[in-house]
Amino acid sequence: MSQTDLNPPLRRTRMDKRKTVCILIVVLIVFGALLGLLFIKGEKIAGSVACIYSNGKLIKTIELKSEDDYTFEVKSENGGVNTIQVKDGKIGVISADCPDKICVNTPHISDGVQPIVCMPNRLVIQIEAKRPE
Amino acid sequence: MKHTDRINTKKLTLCALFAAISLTLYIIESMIPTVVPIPGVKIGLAYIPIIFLIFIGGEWKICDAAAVLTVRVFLSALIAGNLVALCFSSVGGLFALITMAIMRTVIKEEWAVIPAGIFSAVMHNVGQLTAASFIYTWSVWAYLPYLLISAVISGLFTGLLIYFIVKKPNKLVNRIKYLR
Repeated sequence: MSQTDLNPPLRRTRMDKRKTVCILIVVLIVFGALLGLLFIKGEKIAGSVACIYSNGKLIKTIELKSEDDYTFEVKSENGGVNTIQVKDGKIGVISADCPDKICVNTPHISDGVQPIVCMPNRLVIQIEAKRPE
Repeated sequence: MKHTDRINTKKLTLCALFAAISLTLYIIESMIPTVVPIPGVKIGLAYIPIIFLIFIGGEWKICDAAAVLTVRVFLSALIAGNLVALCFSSVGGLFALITMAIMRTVIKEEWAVIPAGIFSAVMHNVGQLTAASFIYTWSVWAYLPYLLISAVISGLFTGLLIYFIVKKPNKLVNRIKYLR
């Protein structure tokens, strides 16, 4: 506080500069995030295949367009169970025994970039382009 | 009080107290139901004591806050009971701590708390996603835009809260600051 009294004009301009830099960085972060949101909302993956990863390993692939509606369960290494539903060309988690239920609350996905993640059960469902076999 | 390099009893006790406060806030936070279905979106209550310790000044150094954060991260992983959470919060915590330490050394004035709150929240999320992309798949980065926006908002409020405490410290804060 006593420092600001020494040579006040110089001090003030320097302070303002650093404040401007900070505000600029925050604005850049928000702007970048909004751009990223637009990209994620707009991006579509052609020939969508749903890949289900448990513990980082690919355990199942489902061609969403050709499969009939069905549900199945995935058990994780720590004993957690997620019930996954395929319906109308979309895939999603309908029930899980994890505490936060984020995976259940995520809407069903069909062709977007955004995955469904269940952190406690280490489950990831993501859409990938069709792989050549 | 004469400053010594060795940690004294009062400081040790206060460190333990702040670790306990941080842990309690972490548990309270985990009880709050998630508003948006995005993994990792949090208010960041557990960081309030850490940021406070970093920016209070006086007898407190950055390494004290680092010690409190380390204790909190390990104990919260014990409570949550999984190693994945430990991995996420330790990488995120390291990123956030480095950011706060840089802000603290670059800007000496009190208002540094507000940008430090925002940047550390952002870096915490970046660190978490880095850890997550190793454990899960690369696609978790698709959550980054959501996490960035939530981090800016929650970090701003955390920063403002600490700013008001540090700017006009009351009797209790001054006692903690100078270990009286």
